[in-house]
Amino acid sequence: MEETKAKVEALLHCNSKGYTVDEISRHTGIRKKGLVKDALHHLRIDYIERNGGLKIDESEGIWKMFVKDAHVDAVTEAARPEIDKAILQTLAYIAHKQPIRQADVVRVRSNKAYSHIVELVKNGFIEAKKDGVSKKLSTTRKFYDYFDLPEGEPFEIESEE
Amino acid sequence: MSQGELFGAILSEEDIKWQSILYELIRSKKIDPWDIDLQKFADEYVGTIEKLKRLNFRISGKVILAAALMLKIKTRHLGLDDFIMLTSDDEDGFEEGDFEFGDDEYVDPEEAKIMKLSNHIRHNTKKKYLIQHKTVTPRSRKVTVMELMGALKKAVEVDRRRETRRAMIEDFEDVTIDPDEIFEVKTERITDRIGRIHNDVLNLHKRTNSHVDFDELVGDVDHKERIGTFLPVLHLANHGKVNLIQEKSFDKIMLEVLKNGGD
Repeated sequence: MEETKAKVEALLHCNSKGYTVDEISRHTGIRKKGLVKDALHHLRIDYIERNGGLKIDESEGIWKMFVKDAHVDAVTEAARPEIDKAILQTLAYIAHKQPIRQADVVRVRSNKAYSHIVELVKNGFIEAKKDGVSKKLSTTRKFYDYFDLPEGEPFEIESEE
Repeated sequence: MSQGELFGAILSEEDIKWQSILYELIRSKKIDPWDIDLQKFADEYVGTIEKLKRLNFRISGKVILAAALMLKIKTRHLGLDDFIMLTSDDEDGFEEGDFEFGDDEYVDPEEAKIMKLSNHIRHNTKKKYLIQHKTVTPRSRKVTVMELMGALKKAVEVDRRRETRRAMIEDFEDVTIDPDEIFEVKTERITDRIGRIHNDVLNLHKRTNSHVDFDELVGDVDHKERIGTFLPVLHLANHGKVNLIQEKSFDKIMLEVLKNGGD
């Protein structure tokens, strides 16, 4: 088990986007998926018990190794944010104006917003519902969980005071 | 064909399709796309430029394009895409897909073929060439709510700027401009005007047989018209038709018709 855990841990360390159990099995060459799952669960517990700056967890079938929320400030400069700057601006704009038509987002954020929206839907931060020829965009529960914001409340610009 | 001959094809003044040559060399395994010596290529370019007797921007363009393509192939082979993202100074940063060809982006079909082929080779040789990140692992971190707030401020600011620009354009579209109201249409050609004033000077000179007073020439007109007459007079003086005499500043200007001034 220790050898399996070491391989899985090394793999998770290499990609902050994380992997599914199938991908871990393929990359590490550990064919028994049950063994991979066991290793992942043990690793998660190891990291909790160690109480360090990192943790391993699963979300929507993706296993990731990441910096604990409490220590994100310490690595702001050193690590790249997992949402690209331009995509984050598009997400913030949608959260602020939601529900908003895709066409209106594109008018403000340029044609690049199309690919931003695809990426944000893929990552589960927003959902797109058909609205005539366009789509109506709004944020998902994952968005509120991720940013630790109260669900359903408008996302407004904080006043300077 | 060797690497040197490929450089020769790119640096040639003739319009040779170097992309086809590069593709064939990679396909036939005569050249390793990741192992093209760009330093040597740059040296040969400098040598060619020194030999050229006239400037040829076509060569510079081909060289930049070829070097960029070969550098891109190398970067991908070495697995440096993430490193480029980390070190980029681009304000917006690289985005997913920046290294792929978009639907609306024109890409030379030959270059697309080269990239596709080199990608294929990359997959088969990845282990051999991939640089292992021993000290820097390009890891990402969670985005904070403060960063989300900063992004919103930026997005709203950009929106506001675009809105202002749009409003300005719309305002401008409503304005009907009548050029005649802005520009006074001159119906007299400048050469005709000079000729007319020259005739006036000669007529006055015949009458008095002495110097011509500029005030008499111009008559009782406004400042604009005085300047409109004075400029052709200066032109006549430059061409040796008249000599301008003014004893002191702001004094009377007298025109002396020169001997060849009457042509």
